[in-house]
Amino acid sequence: MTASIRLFRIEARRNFGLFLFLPFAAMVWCFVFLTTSDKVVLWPQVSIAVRDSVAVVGTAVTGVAAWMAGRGRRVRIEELLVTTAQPPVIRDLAAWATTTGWGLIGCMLGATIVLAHASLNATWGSPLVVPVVIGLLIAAASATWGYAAGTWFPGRFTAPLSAVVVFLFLFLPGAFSYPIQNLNFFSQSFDSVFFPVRTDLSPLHAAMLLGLTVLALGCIVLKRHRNLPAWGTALAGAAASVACVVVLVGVGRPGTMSPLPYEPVCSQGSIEVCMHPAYQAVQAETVDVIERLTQPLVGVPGAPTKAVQVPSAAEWGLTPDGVLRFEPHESYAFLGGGPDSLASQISGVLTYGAACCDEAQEVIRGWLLEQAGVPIAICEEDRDEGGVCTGVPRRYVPHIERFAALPPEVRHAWLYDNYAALTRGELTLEDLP
Amino acid sequence: MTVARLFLRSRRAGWAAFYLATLAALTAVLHLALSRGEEDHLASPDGSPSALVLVFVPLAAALVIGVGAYGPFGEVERTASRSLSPLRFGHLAVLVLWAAATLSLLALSWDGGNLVFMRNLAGFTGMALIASSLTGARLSWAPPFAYGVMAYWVGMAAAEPKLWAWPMRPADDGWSIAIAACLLLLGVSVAALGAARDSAGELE
Repeated sequence: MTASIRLFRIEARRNFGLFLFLPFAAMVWCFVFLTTSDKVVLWPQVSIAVRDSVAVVGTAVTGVAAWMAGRGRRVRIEELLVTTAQPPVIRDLAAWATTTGWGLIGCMLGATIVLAHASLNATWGSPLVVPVVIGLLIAAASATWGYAAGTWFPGRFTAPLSAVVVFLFLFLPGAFSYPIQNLNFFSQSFDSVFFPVRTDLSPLHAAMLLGLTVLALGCIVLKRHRNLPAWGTALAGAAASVACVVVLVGVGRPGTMSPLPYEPVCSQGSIEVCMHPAYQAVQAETVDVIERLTQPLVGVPGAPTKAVQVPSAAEWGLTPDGVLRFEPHESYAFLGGGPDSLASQISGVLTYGAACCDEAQEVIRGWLLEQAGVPIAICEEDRDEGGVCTGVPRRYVPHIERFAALPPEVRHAWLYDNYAALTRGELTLEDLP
Repeated sequence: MTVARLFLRSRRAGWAAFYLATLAALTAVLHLALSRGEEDHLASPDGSPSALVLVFVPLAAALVIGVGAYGPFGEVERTASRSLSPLRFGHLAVLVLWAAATLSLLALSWDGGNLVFMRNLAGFTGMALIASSLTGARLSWAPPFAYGVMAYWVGMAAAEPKLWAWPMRPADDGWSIAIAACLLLLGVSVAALGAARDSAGELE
């Protein structure tokens, strides 16, 4: 026993993971930093981002584990190791445990930094432990499969290919619809502050990951000893995994969630703007954006008289009774998002209506952005010709400038007469003043 | 000719070619299996391959090429009387062209996507070859893999991928093509002019 503990200590000091746990921690932090907002910090979003980041970094641990599994062969000491007192499976387990351990320590260090930052800045919700645990289990299972691959197929190509294959298999179920989607460990994600994050499948996901880990461990042991306990371990892991897959697929499509209660925070300007309290940190700039965009439309029939935050981008729009429905999460969810991104989206809601993107709508949208002082991204081609630009096609710029040069009262009079037709998509460039 | 044959054998070029062909074949089989009926689970709405395929299949091919640059002789090899640069360049050129050919064939099973396959293969291969001079060829997979995962993850989350996430940008994005071409040029130059940073005496 003492010898085994000493072996683990030596392995922990000599393991390649020791050099990589800080980069792993940095990667976890970086992933969360790049996929969440620096302005609106929400506990559910950060918890899910930590799960996803730890899982993604876990695929890199897969490659490192596969690399470590081939170490003895690589430095030609396999025959030397045969002469040691410890059975080879103990050496394998020591190397697997320390490689996985260093990987998990790195992930946990990165997660701790992220969660500590969230604890100081979060404006909504409470930390979710279950997704973080699922992320760590994914990382552990990935590392174990990497080590198993390195044990069975030692070679220069094993480490990179095992990392890519594990990544693909982790994310492939995401391409399917329900019920296969239930096998996707990332299916239960953060969508909106209006609804709780689902964790009802997490126990099954955890059991499936544990089963896969035990199966991989069985495969590692089977390489050294093809005895009953090794076969038993592998078969138990396989049986548990298959059982979980069957149950998960049988769950079917998840039901709808009840919205969480909240008290909207409203502010009164030229129009009333009501938002979820989680977005209080950006309420002032959001109200400012809406004010600047709707100011020229005040008094125009069909123009918004109130703005209300809605749970999802699918509910964006302008209702017939003049309520502008917007969702700032799309704009503030990620680093770099902000009022300009929000303005771009709200200007679309104000002009496109039900029929998106005809010539007159593009011109008025461009003018609304310009008069609000929002930088306009100019596209070289029209929207329906592909490309990633969400701005205004270049050929409309002269029309925007002509409309902007009109006296304010002429513009307002034109909008008063034509705004409803504009949002219905009934106007052409010739109809513009 | 013998020198070239021995050089390719020392780099496991045959196995690398086999893995590249297998990678494309397995992806094609997977696509065939997952596209029965009306749904195509590995395709975008426009019929081109999904982002997962567009990023990770060329990435895997590039990692195989990068790891394949490992030579088992270390500094001993550099004492050879003839320059090894043409051999290294030829070896890499053959592998890149072979990977491009297999990916082109793979792209036939979708509507489009070939240009993105080629761009991402070029960029990731360049990154792997640059990494091989820094970390050694056997660990050259780590930096491009970490970058590829990050570009995919962040690119999927953002509506409009930033330029640094060039593998996720559309096919006709000139800047991303330029970045990938520069990376390949730099990577092949670095790997051809100076061998990967590997020590002698270790097996692969």
